[in-house]
Amino acid sequence: MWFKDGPLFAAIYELTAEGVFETYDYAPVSILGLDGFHRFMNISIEGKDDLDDLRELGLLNHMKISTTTYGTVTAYRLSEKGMNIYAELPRKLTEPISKLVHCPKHKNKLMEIVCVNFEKYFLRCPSCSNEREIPIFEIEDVSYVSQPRFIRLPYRKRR
Amino acid sequence: MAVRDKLEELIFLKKPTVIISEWMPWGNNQIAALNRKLGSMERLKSTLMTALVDEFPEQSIFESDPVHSDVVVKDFELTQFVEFRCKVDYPEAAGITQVEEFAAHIHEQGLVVFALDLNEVEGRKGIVSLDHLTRVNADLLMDSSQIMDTLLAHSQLRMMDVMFRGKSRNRGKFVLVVSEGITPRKSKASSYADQEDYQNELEQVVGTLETTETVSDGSYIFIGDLGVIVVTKSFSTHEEVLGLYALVRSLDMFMNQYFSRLWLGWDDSLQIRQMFLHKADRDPTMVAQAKTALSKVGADAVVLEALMKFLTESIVYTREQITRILKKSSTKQKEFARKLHLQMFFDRVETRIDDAEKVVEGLKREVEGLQGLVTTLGEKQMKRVYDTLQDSSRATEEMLASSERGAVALNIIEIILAGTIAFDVIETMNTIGFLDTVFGGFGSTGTFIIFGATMLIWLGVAIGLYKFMEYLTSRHEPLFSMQLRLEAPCHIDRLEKYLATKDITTLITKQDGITDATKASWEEEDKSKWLGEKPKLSIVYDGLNGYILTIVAEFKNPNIDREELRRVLLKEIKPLLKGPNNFS
Repeated sequence: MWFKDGPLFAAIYELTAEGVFETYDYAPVSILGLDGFHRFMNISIEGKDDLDDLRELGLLNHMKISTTTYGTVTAYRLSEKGMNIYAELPRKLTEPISKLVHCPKHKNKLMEIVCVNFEKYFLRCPSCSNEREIPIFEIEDVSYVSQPRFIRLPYRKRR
Repeated sequence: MAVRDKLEELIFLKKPTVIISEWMPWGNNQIAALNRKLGSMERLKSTLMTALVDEFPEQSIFESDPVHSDVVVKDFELTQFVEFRCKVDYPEAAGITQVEEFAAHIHEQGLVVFALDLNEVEGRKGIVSLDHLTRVNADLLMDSSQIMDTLLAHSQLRMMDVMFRGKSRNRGKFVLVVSEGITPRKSKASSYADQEDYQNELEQVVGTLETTETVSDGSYIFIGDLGVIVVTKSFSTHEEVLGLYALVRSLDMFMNQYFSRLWLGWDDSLQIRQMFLHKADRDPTMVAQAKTALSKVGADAVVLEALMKFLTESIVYTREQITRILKKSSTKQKEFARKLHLQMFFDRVETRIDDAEKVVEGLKREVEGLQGLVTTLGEKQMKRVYDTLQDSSRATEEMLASSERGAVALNIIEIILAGTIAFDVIETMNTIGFLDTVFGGFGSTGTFIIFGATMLIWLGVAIGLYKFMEYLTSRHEPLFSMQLRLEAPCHIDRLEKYLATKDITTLITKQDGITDATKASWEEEDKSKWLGEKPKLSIVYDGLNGYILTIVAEFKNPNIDREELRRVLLKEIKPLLKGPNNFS
């Protein structure tokens, strides 16, 4: 079983926004979605980079999959070595993550990451109606002041 | 929405200028139309723009929400370009203040540039962290799309809609950030490509970092797949080269999306071909379905081909400009252009356009081929229908002849039956002695009188039977019917409520995915409303698209006042129709 990058980034974003991944932050990045449309997603570049580090260490396998919309999806899964290391990880490291991805009502149930119309991600419990949205597509605003800048472009006026 | 996370800000840029650029199909005529729209030639070159369309041009009042942009034209050449200042006044989240004012430049060759100096972000003046910059960029990318929607002509919107399959607001744009300085300042640009924190920060703005360059004058260039950051103290020296670079990279980004769109067009045509070849003989609606799907793919192919012509023209022009600019450039400028990999990016996009030209040509041919296939199958189906019709006509003829023979036989039986009845009457009269009593005195003449009377009774019964049969026939077949072909849009909810009040006797529905034709029939009860009769009414409507197609009234009285009937019918149906119409 492979985990696709879209839901994986959604999970990383949620864990970053909730402060579990303390050293990560995220930024809006224009991504070509699986439906073939561009849209902004809050992506943690640090998270993405760490995925590459795990691949380099041989703990994570990844695979490129072509889509019907002529895009590419990257999917990940733990390698055997990765699984062994994961099994030995101290509980205090995995617990905060585990708490966020398990249903608060059914503690043993892992929440599923559900994508709706490629425009929304939800964490949903498969046993009850408990769900919450991961606002990965909601781009945060910042206050700013700007002024127009006319730049000289490489065109000659005909007149 | 305010920032949820505590940002880890590592890199800061001094007084950044943000340039958002994209390529779009323009051309001389559209630029001229845009200049007119913006009032470039007018004395006062300032106007408010809105994306709303006036749907009721005949009305005196136009209502608009407060979402608009304030545009002031700075410079223009009627058919070549327009430069304007634009102040955006879109609603923002609570606690967020944005003074968003930028310069826009739109050129006939397709280059659209939005540029602004960022003076202050989140209360910091003159210095911006990359974490904040990426959020400003996202805002600018979306707002610039919204502004472009107010400026594009319908034909351009159509092209963009085909290109981005109705979601052109999400299109990618090239981001160029030019800054006077960078903090922390490292000895060379490549030091930032550490595959760790610094690179991560840069990649938030430029996408995947492809290369870094250090220029001899101390400028740094960070080139990514979605944008570029240039740190230089001599921005004005390199403005023209950077403008050209923005055009080349915008063309490249457009080509990424154009090529994907081309393959989707191929996919659509392949689907039609497969659907057609597998179902054409079994599904009677296939020709109509294929024609509808094919007309869409055909129209898309025409738009993609038109876009290709714009792209080809633009690439030729860009090549000329690169030659011209580099020829007159100083050594420093040439080095800067080389470090930007301007020629490499141009060569790449030129090759891609050449390549895509073949694919779009192929798509056009494929659509033509499919059209031929559909026509052939249509003709094949017509031939089959014609053969079936001929067989059916032959069978009908045989049935008619047989029916005529039956009618003649029935008439003969009627006559014989009438004779039998007549003789039975005479026989009965004879049995009870009535004939002897009346005609006994006439001798042999009486026999002739009885025979004559028998013949008369025979004739009377035959005429009686004939009239009776005529009456029965008239009871089953309406003698007069009026059909009104309306084909007018209707309030489908009202129609359904109207039909719910009727005692529907027949309901026939035919759906083909595009239309949903239903025929409902009932008998009217109120004689006073329907010229003293109880007609049978039928209405044929398209429930999916909300159209009343025809209405039929059948009467038993052939002498009904036709004009009056038409008036009554229209009066009955008018409350169900939408808007003004010519029926009276």
